[in-house]
Amino acid sequence: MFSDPTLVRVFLGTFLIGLIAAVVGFFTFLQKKALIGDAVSHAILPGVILAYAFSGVRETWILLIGAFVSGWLATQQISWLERTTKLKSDTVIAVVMSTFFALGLCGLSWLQLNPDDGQAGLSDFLFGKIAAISMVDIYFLMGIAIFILLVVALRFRYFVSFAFNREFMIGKGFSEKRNSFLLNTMIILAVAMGIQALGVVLMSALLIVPVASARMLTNKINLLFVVAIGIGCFSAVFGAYISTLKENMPTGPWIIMVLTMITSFAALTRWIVSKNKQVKHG
Amino acid sequence: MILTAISVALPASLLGVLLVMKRMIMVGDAISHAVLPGIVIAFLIVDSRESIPMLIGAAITGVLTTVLIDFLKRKLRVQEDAAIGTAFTFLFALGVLLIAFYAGKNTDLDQECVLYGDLETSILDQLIWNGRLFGTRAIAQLFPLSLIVVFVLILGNRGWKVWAFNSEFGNLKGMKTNLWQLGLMTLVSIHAVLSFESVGVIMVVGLLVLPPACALQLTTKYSKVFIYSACIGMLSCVLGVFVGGMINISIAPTIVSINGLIFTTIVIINQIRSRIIA
Repeated sequence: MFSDPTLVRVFLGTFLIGLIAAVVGFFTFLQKKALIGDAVSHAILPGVILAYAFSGVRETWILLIGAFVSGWLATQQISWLERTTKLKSDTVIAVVMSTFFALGLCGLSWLQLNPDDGQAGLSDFLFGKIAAISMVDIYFLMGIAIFILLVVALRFRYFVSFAFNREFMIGKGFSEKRNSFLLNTMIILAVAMGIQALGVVLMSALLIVPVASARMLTNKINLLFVVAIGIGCFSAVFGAYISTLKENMPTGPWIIMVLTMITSFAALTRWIVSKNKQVKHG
Repeated sequence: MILTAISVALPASLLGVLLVMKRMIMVGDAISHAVLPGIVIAFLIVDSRESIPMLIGAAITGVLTTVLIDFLKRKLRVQEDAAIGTAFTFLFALGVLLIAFYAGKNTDLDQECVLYGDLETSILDQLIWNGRLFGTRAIAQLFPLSLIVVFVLILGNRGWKVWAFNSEFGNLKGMKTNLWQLGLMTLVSIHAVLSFESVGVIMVVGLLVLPPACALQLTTKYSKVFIYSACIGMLSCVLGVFVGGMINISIAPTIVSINGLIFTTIVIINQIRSRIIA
């Protein structure tokens, strides 16, 4: 099985995506901003389209720059609207997400007016195609994974404290802007790399679900982090493995199915544990 | 084409107001994604794109989504955003898998069509009866829905107010707020399934959230929000159809983009106004 270089790339790729998604998702979950990942994954579309329209080539790093710019604009617009209007944050997220995605779709249909061969790649960018992952993409993923892990290793306490006690941290003189800038950068990088494998809709699952199911199993923050990463990596690789068993099976949905199974087990475990506790106390 | 667009946007902008006020817009987003497996299963059972089985399938999955989110939130104490994200990605993935498994050879139904929709082709699907053109199928389905939505909103006016702003009070008074919520979610999922062919699921969210968001910038009066929202929804449809036709790009995303631009403009003007006053 491991003699096939495509399969090795696929497993390595999904493993890395699962890893970075779980790490980033951990912090967005703690900040109760899990749906920001959803918004970002939709919002990077116009950037990708523009980058393609200007450069005319489908190189990962060019699309990544476009994705980064529009993802960053979207997160900026979200925080701007949250400050200036009285709208609730979920409304703001939905507004920004749908506007950006619509702009991207407009761009896509404009590009299709004069079709050329590079465009098939763009729709892969949206729906995800892990089989198309190249060695260059893997190096990119490794680089991003190392960057994110480094940032997290240096700033773990700081991020966690911001998630739990924002006012206290601001009072202590830490910059909130810097915190959210770092966090947003990580989200955008993770999402931009991940949607090439999973597609727009399912990327948010890999951000949210591992940590949500890990949360059912533990209350300790360090353990939560480790368990979430474990679940993310395992289900990404295992889902990819299932999808290689048969021809033309989509990878993303299988990853989600594995994730959901794990979530159900976690839910069941939690339910049994809480039942036992009740018996003890009662 | 304008009429088709409006018949999608009008019920959306009215339902959206309630969702935005109750802070449930992301649930609307979730539902519009999650109706996919319902549509696919209904499609597989009856093997055609008949609308009634699809409606039933979508209504069931729509309600199922809300129940699932509620279950995750209440019973498993998952925080709300994570519950929404878990529920709808699961259902959507299920839908995509079902398509890959069973409907793969069938070109009638694929995930791109569900995600993007196509206003241009949906108007080709016309209702011709006794040799006379009665408008498109989308209009024929969505127009009654618009009427029902308006009717339900007017009839249940007080109920909706209580549900959106003070459901504890409602519960205390013996009102079944959960049932009201399920009713609304059923309407949202029916709307989602009727309009996904024309505009696609993500654009449905745009049509749900943008008009009320604009309206809330302009007024704070409960009844006026509905009227403004409906007007803005229809206005952006008209503009979208014209602009999209002019530069020859797909209509549905143009409508939502224009609506987004209208929203941004309103916010900026409001900002400048408040600066000048202050």
